[in-house]
Amino acid sequence: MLALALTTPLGAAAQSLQLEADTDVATAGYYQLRWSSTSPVVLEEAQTAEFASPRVIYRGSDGARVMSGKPDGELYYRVRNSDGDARSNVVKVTVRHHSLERAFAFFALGATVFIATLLLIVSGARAGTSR
Amino acid sequence: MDVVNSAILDPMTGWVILAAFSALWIALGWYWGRHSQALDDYVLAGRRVGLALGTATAMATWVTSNTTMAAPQIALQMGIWGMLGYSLGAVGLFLFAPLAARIRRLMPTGYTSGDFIRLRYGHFAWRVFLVISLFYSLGWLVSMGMAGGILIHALTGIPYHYGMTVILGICVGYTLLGGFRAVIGTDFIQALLILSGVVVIAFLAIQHIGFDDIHRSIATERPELLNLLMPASIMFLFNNLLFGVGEIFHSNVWWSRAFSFREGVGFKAYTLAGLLWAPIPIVAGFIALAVPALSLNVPAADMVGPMVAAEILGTAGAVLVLIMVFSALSSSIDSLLAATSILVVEDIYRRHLRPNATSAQMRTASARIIVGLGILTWLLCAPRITTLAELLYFTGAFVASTIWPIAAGLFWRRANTLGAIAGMLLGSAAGLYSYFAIGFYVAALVGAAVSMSCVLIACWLQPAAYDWADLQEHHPQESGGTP
Repeated sequence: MLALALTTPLGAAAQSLQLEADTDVATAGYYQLRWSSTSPVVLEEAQTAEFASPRVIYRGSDGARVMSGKPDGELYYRVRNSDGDARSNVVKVTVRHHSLERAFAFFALGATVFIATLLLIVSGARAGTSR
Repeated sequence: MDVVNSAILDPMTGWVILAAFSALWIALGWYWGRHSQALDDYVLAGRRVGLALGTATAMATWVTSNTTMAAPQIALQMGIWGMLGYSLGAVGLFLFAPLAARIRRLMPTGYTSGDFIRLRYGHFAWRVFLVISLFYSLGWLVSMGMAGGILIHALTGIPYHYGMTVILGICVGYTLLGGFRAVIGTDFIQALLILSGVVVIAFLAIQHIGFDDIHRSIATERPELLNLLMPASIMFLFNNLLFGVGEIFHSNVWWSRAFSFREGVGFKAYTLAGLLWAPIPIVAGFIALAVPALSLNVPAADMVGPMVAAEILGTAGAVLVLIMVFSALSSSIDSLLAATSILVVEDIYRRHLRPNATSAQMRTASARIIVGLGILTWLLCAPRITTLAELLYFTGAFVASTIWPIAAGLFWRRANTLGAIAGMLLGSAAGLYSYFAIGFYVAALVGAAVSMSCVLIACWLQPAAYDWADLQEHHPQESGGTP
């Protein structure tokens, strides 16, 4: 369940803040980040493990956040205390959507089953009524 | 476990609302059930349910944690197609309409969907079906118990376990007191509350949030939600449709209604219920798309519906949502408790353990099973091991494999036992495999496709010549005594 791909050693304070994701590869563009903290935190997102230009995506006292609608790519996350004296480990999540070929193959399969079921019921109901 | 520290209502307000509606449902359960002494009265409301009550109970039962909480979750995860695809759940009600008419005609004295499978396909197929059906019923019950706890926690901050215990306890209480008659009666009131609530929330939401803001925020923060070619959501469309069809076709919740409706009511009631239900997940799902525009943090995907509604509509909106979803959950939990208890009583207690059970003994057993189901559900809800949608769609692998054995069994004489058994077993196995190998959004689709292939091949290789008269079975309960 966990995707603790990278860990940044930041001393004893960092150990009290643990961040985890519910998957390391998101094939539908959504995932959940959870952290353990009793005080308000700041959740940061970056495109690189070095957090060269991090983006703050949440400030507050909740203990998790659902991410969704993400395009393909690699994203890195960490949380820190609001006063900045403690940081969590870094979590990497890779977003890699299914291929469109696979998606349309399942779509066609589903359409076939549905149409066949519909035909079975409509023809059966008509035959039953006429009898 | 509890990840929300910013609930809009205070816990005391939450407890007052829960207490008021709990007292109402219990009182109504006692009132409607006070004359239900005979088994048919207790478990099938005397088989005299008319069109208004029939439509309301079908619609209210189908508006459940699925619609009010999992639909917004799917919209948040799958975007536009997730929102629209969820409303395809109405197709299950439309397709069941002709089945309900046929069931009532072929089995005027039937009790359960298990009765049909046993008489149509024999004992082995029946036992496979019972495993699937009971597993699904428990999964659905657990998902709704969880939904109750999550909803109450999200809106009031009351801990998950307290909320979950209250909603399960109340539903067990009034179903126990009033049986199926109470279920139908409360469903009617709950349907009115749900429909009114949805209309008010939709109106207020459109007033409070502009479409432009929602679109701009999603395009920036969660762009794939607007992508009409998002692969997972394309795969999800027919999966959701077939999951809904499988849920309705096999579950005794819907069969018991078909048996309880007056002759000629089933077709119209299910069609009308489908029409009334279809817009609800679109409204419920739409509000989830407002998350980026509101800069709202959603800690768990299945909390998004009530959280957004409360954020948009303020305290009054949160109260409205709490009442509406409490009604939606109650209307489904009570139906499932009643329908599952009669399935266990008829298909396990009487058919396996006490073949000479009297009507009074079966009524007593039914009440005990309602309590037992409530306790079991509580124990399974307590650890909250997964999200609502993932739990629901896990059962999709199983239920979709019953679509073709049931539909073909009702309309084709040539449908045979081998096809039904292979369809249910291989369909479930294939659906389960795809759930883990690909994702929850293809499990039902794969299960239904494999099951259909099995039924068709078996019909082609070894067509049966079933006599429909074999479905008309004498029940000892009809004379009120032993056979």
